[in-house]
Amino acid sequence: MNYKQEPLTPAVFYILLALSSKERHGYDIMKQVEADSHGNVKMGPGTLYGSIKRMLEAGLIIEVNDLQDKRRKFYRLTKKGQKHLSSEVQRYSEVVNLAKNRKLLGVGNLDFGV
Amino acid sequence: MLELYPSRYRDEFGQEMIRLFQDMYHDVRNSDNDMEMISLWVRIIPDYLISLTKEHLSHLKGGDYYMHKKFDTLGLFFWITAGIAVFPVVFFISMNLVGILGLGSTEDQSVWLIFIPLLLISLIGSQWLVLRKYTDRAKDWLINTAFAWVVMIASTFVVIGLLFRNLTITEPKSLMFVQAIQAIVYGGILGWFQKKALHGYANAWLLIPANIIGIALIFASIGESISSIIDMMLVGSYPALFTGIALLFIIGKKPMRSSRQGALT
Repeated sequence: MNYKQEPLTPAVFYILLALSSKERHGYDIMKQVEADSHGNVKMGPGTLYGSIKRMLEAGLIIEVNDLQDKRRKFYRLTKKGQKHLSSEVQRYSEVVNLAKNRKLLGVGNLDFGV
Repeated sequence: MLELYPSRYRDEFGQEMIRLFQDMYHDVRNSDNDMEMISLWVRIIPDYLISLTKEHLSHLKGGDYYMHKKFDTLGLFFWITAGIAVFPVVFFISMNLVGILGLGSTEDQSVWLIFIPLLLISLIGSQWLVLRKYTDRAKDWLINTAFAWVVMIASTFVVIGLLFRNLTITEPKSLMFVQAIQAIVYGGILGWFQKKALHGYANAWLLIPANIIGIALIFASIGESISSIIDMMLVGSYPALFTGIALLFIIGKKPMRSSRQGALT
């Protein structure tokens, strides 16, 4: 199964986005995800570490040691992770362009004629 | 709450999850809004139940290849002990089975017909029991090792039974030469299959020289004749010792990457 072709889950997408700027530990990732999603994606420890585990397995992120805070595990985006994030952002961008062309953006109540 | 997660998941992320919860709890305690505490638990409990179910399902489906525990000196101790202990146990069972099944006297060859297959099954079984504590590739190890033995037995039958059946080696130097080739071939086959089982781990190639040395030492000991169970245990300890040392360098680090993909969508 080639997961490159398939959209990422919101949790995985926002974790990749959070790690795109710098290495972060679990709590930092969680707070950044909340901020980036304007509070729409709220994860608990189970969802966060379940996603981290699967992303480590897939090679999208790696664990790194931080010399300043040895008690915590920090995570960093890999090149593969960056590629996945870019293609997902590209996919979103195409959807936004499509929505613009169809004048769907900024419309409060859409009437689909059903 | 963490105790209910699969053990390897707990070992890998348990401490991190506790720290994360402590950070969240600390933030809520410092806020003025009392509703924040309720909101924290409303967020934590469903998340916990969902992730618990997911992780157990993932574990039941064959485990997570990322999950890993460092193979340390305690692991080495169990590995060697298991490798040695199977000899007297299997020998005792074989001796009794010959009597129970009425296959003849315990003095004759029929003991070996039971002893050898039972020993091979027990050896890989004991290796699997130890390895599964450290890596989810233990099942692959079991299958590949069994397959390697089948290849070794089949190749021995073809080479010695069919091609060189009339060949008799009496000269000690020639015998040593043949045994050295056998050790390289057998050790190479066993090591290659075991290396494949531990895919993704750095240094997995070390299993090839480890098996060659272990088997070469078995041949060297056979040359001096094996007369007792203690001798057998000693002989059995060679491959266990060398593969165990190799495992210290292999499962001492996490696998480089998983062969499994597709878990993200």
